[in-house]
Amino acid sequence: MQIILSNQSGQPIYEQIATQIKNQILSGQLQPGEMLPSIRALAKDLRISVITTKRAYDELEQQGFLSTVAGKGSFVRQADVELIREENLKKIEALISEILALAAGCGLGYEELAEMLALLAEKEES
Amino acid sequence: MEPIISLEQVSKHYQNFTLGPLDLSLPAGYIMGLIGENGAGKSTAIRLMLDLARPDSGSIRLLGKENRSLGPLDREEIGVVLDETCFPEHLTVRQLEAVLASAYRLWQPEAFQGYLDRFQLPREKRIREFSRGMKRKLVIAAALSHQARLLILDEATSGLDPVVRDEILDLLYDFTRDERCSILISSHILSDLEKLCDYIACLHRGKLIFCEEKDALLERFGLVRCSAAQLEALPADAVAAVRQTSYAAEALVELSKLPPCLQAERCDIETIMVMLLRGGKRI
Amino acid sequence: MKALLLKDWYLLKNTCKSLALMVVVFFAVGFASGENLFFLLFGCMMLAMTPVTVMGLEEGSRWQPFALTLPFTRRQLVLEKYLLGLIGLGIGTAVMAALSLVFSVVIVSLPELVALAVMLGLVYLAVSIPCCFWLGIAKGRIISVMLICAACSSIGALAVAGAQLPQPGLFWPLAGVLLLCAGSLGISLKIYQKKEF
Repeated sequence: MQIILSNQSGQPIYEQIATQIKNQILSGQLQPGEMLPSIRALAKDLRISVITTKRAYDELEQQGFLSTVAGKGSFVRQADVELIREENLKKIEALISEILALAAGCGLGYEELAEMLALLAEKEES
Repeated sequence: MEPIISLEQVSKHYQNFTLGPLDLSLPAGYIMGLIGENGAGKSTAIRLMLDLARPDSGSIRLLGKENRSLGPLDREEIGVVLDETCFPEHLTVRQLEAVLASAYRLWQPEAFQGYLDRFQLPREKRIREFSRGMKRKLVIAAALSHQARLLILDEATSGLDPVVRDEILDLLYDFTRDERCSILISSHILSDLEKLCDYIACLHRGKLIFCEEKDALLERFGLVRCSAAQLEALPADAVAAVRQTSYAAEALVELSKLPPCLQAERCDIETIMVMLLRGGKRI
Repeated sequence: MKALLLKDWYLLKNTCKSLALMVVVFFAVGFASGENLFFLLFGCMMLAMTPVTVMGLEEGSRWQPFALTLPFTRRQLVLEKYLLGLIGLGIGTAVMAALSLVFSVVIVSLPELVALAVMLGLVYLAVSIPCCFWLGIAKGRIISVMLICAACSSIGALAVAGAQLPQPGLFWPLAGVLLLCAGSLGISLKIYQKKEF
C-alpha cells in the first residue's frame, strides 16, 4: 500500500490518507479482506501522529470501506457495489458543478451544454 | 484508563521564577511534546515529575502511582534522558554496560549492543572522550534497553546536528510501535516534535499556554498576511495574535471563525507558538 | 547496591592508580621512619576517602540527579557511600596491620594501631560524607581534608610527646565513634531524602 503525503496541499493529513486508501480500494489495488497496517505501524512509517492515522481509519470505517476487529486489525470490506456507485455519483456531481460554473463564466446556456453532451456521447459510442 | 503522567495543580516557587499551577496529563500509548522558550519551565516540570524536586502544591502521578512512592521496580519502567552527560564520564562503555546490567532486572544486552553498533559507539573508549552527540546517543541507547514503557526526555536532541537528530527520532518512532509505550519529550527544536508528537503542551514563563492534540492545533490555526487596513477588516474573535511590521501585518487566525472568502495559510507549530507568545492580542 | 559499588570500583580503577601508589609510599615512609604514626594513619585515611573522591569524579556529569531516575532508592545511594568508605578503610587497615607484623611499630601496640586507624577512619567518614551531601562536593571535600589533617597531626604530635593511651581506653572511644557513625548515617539519610536537584 502506497501513501504519499503532501504538506503543501490544503488537505489535512488524515483526509489525504483516507482519500488515498479509499481510491486504492475502489480501484481494486486493495482487495476485500486484505489487512491494512495497524494505526501505529502506519504512523511510524509515515512519521506522523497515531491520532491522525486513527482518525483516517475511523473515517474510512464510518464510510464503510474498512472494518476493525479488536485485537486483530483493520480489514478492507467486501466491495459494496452500491458504495462504489455512490462514490462515482458524488464525483460526477462535483464535476458537473465545475462544468456549470465554467459555462456560466463564458456565457454558455443550458441548451448549448446539453448539445455538447449529446455530441460527445455519440462520439464515445462510435 | 489512567493517564501515564498526570499533574494536577502543580506549582513550584523559586526565587525568580514560579512554575504553575500546572494541569497536564498524558494518556498511555501516546507522545507528548513539551515546548516553550528557554527558561519557560520545561526542565523544572520534568524534574518535578521525576521526583528530583518537590512541588510546593499539587499532585504528580506517574505510572498510576504518586511519584513519591515510586520504587526501584517502577523506575525500571521509566527510561530517562536528561540534558547532561548523565553517566560518569570516566567509565568506558563496556564498564557502563556492566553497571547497568547489574542495576536493571530487565536489562537487554542484545538491544544495547545493537544500539551501540548502530551508533558506532566504541566500547573501550571512556565516555569523556565522546562528542556531545555520541554521549547523548549513549544515554538514549541505555534508556531504550531495559523494557521501559515510559520515556522522559529533557532536551534530548538539543545541541545535535540534524542528521543525528533524525537518527534519534527514528529510534523514538520505533519505540512507539508498542501501544503500551509513551513518551514525554521536551525540546525547543520544534521541527523535531512536529512530526513525532500526538499532543503538544506549551509552557511560557511557568504557565501552560495550551495542551492540545497536535493535529487539532494545526487545523485550528492559520496565518493571514495582509496590509494593516485589511487587518482591521478581520473579525475580532477570529484573530488570536497579531504581528505588525512597517510593511504589512501577520495575523494568527482561528480558521473556523474566518469568513470563507478569506484565505489563510497553514502554519507549523513553531509559528503558532511564536505568534501566541510574542504577538499581541488584537483588541 | 552492587551496581553502585561496581561503578565506583570502575571509577577508581580508571582514575586513581596514583592513589594506590601514594598509599604505598605513605606506608613505606611510615614504616621506614619507624616512628611516624602520621604517615601510617594518613595512608589508611586516603583509602577511607574514596567516597569523597568518587563523588568528586561524578560531579562533572551530574550523575547524582540522574542516578535518582535509575532503579536505586535515595537510601541505597547514601548507604553505598558509607559501605565504600568502610571497605576502603578495611583494606587500608588490614594492609597496614599485615605490614606492621613484618616491620615493627614502636609507639603503640598492634591492636591499638588498628583501633586508632579504624576510629580515625570512621570519624572521617562520619563527618565528611554528610558534609559532601549537604554542602556539595567542593566545600565538603575541603572541610573533610582539613579535619583529617588536624586529627592525624594531633595524634602524631601526642605520640611524639610521649602521651600514653589510657589503658581501658579503647572501648569507650570505639563505642563513641560507632555512635557517631550511626548518627552520621541518620543525618546523611535525612539530608539526602530532602535534597532537590
